[in-house]
Amino acid sequence: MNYSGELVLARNQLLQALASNNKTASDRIASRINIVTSELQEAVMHTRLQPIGNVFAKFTRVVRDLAKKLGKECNLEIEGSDVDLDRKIIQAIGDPLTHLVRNAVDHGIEKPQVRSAAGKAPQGKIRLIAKHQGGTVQVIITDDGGGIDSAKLREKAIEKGILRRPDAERLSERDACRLIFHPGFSTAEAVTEVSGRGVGMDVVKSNIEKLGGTIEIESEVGRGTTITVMIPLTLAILASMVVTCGGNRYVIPQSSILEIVRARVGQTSTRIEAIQGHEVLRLRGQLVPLVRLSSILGIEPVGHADTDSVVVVESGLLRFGIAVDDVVDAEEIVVKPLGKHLKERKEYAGATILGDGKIGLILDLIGIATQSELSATEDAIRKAEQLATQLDDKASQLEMTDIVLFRTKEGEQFAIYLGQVARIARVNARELHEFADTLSMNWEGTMIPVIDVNVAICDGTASHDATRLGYVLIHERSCGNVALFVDELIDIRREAIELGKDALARHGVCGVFLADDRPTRLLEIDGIVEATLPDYWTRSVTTLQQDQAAGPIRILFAEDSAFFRNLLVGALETEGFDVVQAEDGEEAWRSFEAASNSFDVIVTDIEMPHCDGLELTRRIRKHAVGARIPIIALTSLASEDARQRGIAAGVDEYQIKLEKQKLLEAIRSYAKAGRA
Amino acid sequence: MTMNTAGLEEVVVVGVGTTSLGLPLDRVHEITRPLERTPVPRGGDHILGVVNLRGDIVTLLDLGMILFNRACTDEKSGRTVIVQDDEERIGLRIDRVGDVVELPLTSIERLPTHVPDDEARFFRGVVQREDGLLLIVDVAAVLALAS
Repeated sequence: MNYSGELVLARNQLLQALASNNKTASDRIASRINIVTSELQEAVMHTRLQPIGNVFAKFTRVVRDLAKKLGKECNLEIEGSDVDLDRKIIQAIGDPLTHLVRNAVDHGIEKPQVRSAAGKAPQGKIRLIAKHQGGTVQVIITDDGGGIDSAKLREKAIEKGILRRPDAERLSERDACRLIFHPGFSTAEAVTEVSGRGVGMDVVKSNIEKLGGTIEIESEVGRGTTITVMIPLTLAILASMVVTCGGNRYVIPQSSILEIVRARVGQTSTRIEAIQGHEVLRLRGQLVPLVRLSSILGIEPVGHADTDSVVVVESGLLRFGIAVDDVVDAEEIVVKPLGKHLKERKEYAGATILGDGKIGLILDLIGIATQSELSATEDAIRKAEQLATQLDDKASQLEMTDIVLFRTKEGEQFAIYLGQVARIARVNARELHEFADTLSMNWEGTMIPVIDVNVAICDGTASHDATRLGYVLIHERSCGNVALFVDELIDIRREAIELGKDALARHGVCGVFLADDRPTRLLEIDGIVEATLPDYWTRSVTTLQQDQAAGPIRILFAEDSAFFRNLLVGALETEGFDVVQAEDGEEAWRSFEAASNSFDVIVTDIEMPHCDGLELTRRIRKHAVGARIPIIALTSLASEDARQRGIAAGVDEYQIKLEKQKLLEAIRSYAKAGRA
Repeated sequence: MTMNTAGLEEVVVVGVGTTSLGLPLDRVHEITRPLERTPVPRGGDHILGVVNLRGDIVTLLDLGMILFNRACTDEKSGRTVIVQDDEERIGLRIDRVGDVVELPLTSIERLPTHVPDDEARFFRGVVQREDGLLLIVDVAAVLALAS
């Protein structure tokens, strides 16, 4: 009351000062009004605050009654009842907290005899703690009960089709516990009167998120469960991100934002793709449903043509990306409701007045998720992933491969098979000479072409200022060497590569995999040479083709991985070879038996289901015609041990997968020798 | 309805297109020059957006669009009438503003029966004046739209 009196007094003085045109007096009064207003605001804010103890108070009874009904013994400890929160939050937090406390008694605490048997005190303990943490309030609910069996959760998730088995197994303990927040997820064996009230943990989570809060769970089997709820002090002020779309600004609550990414066209790691007509964001190997704010709002975007700013958000349990024109700034905003005419619009949660006095509409993420066909997109993603696993199961027996890892100056990571690299040397850009649009350098006395990976693959600009340092990877070819120029060499290592398809499907890129959690493109040197130095490529191919006159060379090709099969068959057929394909040793054997006389060379993978390459070789060698046919075994690693076993089985030669050029040469020379 | 003892009603005369309208004075909170408006995509045809009225977010409706399905001008000459609804204030875009006049209640006649119902529902009646007809707007009916 004092403050409002002060304010009225100040106003009167100000009017007087203005009337008498007294500058110093009005300045003094203005500063006083400033102080009084801030104090008044603080006082008003304080009147909104209430102790959280108002909610906590009823829990003692809730726990006692429930424990009695369930035949359990349970003690509730409460700490931090005096922590103050906004009145509105206190009201809204009551139900979710009640649910969590009842859960702790119902599912957490075991029956006294079970507890005694496990060596615990027969009386269970639940602790409810509230405390200030930064600008937020933390409410922690701990029980010393049975904990959550994460293995059970994983099984349940697989059973309900929420996760695929490999994904479920890869989840961290913490993430596995978080599964209980998934809609339609309940681990209670039977629906009890207590827990079967139709409110799941997913509702608890979304209720808390509606308040701008978060919820985390940690659990240890046999030791108990801890749930941490973080809630903002007040609803009135919201940390948020301001974005633009179609020239207007919109506001996204920061509590829902996971990250903000830029998806550039042509970039491999983060980009937008379409699955069955639904747009998705590829983010570190994962597919995230994507909506465009412009299409949700039905407006014309005014973004950059080749770059999309995507705000990745999590709302309820739905994670999705919102493509916007631009992300402007972070701002603390005061939330204001929209009028009754706009209340029904599901896209907006309210509005705010931004720093410059203009209005920004606050986006309602749950509303947007339901408006846009996100569930359809999710289905499409799930289908695509299932398809990918099916292909994977068949195609990618994980094989250890030696690779060279490197980066371009833009920071994009690449790898190349070590087998394709003969030497690595450090060079200064000064040593590279530009001549008729191609780079070349002096290597052991001869000029060899140099391909700048940054230019050839990333469409980067060629900048060969004298200070640029880098490495050249020398690749030896029959018709002369080629060098790849890279900026940063990271490692040479043996790695099990799980190759994903690269939607860009550029020449010279086999696919994408993760190395050190970074998306890495696996390069294939023949493709790069073919794409960047077409003249050179034709020359090198024609030298080889000269002696192919007496009819096409016929090859039986066995390879189980569809990916490698397509890659190599394509290359073999372009060479003019006649290729008979087989998906495994068994199929290859049948093809061989059917037309054993017609093959010039047999090329086979070693590791295949049903009948592997060695078994196939042994069978062929026992066959009347097969004894003399050259057999080339393909492998991605050639250890001496494996080589010996191959030779024992009757393999003539080993070739490294993806070294197309060498493989072609070998096929040619064997075929030539066979026909002579 | 403001009525003094003499059975008079005070209305603010405003213009939408070529039509003169009377807005009952008791519902009118203030009349402002056009405020900078923020469009609300997917809000609807008759919703022009929201404006910042001294810190309050006020929905701006197009009175011309609601009454005659014809948008009001977006130019400087236009005005915004802020009317008081039950719990909030709402802006109505109009083309012109005139005087406040006192009308005897008896001068307000029923709308001719040939006016279709979905148009007639926004008017309480019509007054014949020397300079033409004055349609008396039922503000509650206008505000009830699309809420």
